[in-house]
Amino acid sequence: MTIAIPSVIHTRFGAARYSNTGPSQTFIHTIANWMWLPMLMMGVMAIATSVGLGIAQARVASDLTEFTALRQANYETLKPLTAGFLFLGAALILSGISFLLATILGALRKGGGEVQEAVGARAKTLTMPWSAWAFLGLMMIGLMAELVAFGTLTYVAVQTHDAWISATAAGAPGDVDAFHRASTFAAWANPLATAALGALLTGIAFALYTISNVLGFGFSRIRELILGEEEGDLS
Amino acid sequence: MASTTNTLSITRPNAPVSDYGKHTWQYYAGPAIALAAVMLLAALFVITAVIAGSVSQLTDPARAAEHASRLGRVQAYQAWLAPASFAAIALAMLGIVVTLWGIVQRLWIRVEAIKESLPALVKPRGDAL
Repeated sequence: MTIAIPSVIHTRFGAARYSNTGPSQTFIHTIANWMWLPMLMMGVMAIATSVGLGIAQARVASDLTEFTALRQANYETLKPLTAGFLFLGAALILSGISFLLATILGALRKGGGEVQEAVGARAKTLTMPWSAWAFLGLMMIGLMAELVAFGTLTYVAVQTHDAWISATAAGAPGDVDAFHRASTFAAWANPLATAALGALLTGIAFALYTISNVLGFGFSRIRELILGEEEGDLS
Repeated sequence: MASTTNTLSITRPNAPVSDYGKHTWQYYAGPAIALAAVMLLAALFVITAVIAGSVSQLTDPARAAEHASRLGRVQAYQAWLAPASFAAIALAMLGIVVTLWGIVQRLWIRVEAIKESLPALVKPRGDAL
């Protein structure tokens, strides 16, 4: 005897779908599987660059007791550049973590299907929950905002150099207009970079929430298979 | 019974899993990297505390003659301390990454273990769900 089961049912963990074979990896999971390591490596390289810039800035700072416009310009220029690479590196590492969390979700989805196939049952899989969409959206917003902030801080570095290269005394920029432009852009670029990190971290929180939900669904499904009881609204 | 997977992936074991209880290398490396990051952060904090002492002397009128050299030293330390602290935090994040990598590996090992053992628990039914 075969029970007639609708293709989409509602469970405590969200909407689920039945299929005769286990689900394959989604496009997002495939991208995440390939991208998490490159993202991580780029993040590590950006952080290493910022440490190098910091050391260069320290060397310039130790010579600042004798004022020259070039030294002052180099010192002031390295500040926004170092900050830009720091934030970019942190964002790329957090994006790597986000992709790795998506890989975990992919493993739970595909692995769950393989387990159900192994016992000859129809594969029951959760449809993509709202929290997963929120995770993806926040991650993309965070990464894009961080790239904008990095571009802006690079622009700030250029303007800062223009402002100080013609200085005649310490604390008095030579090009006041360039100094004001640099100050204005730096005033919102740094908070934007911080907000972008916040968006990435919030996305990670949503990813962990989704993993928690999917784990609960997985345990529930194993119980169903062993006991032969079906959970969920089949109507 | 050993299970096999034929997927080329750094997150899924490519070799047959013979011992489901064996710890992955990420199980040891993740916490080790995180601990190294904490120790680095502690060392950087000590250096920052020493520099903070120099900052407090910048406003001391009795040491006005040393202000310029002292300010230069403070600026020099601050210039590399901030990125170094960020690098230490990045190292802690790497610890998280390696641990999560281990979780993915462990999930796939669990899938293989369940695929092997679950059919023995499930009674054959004609109306399999």
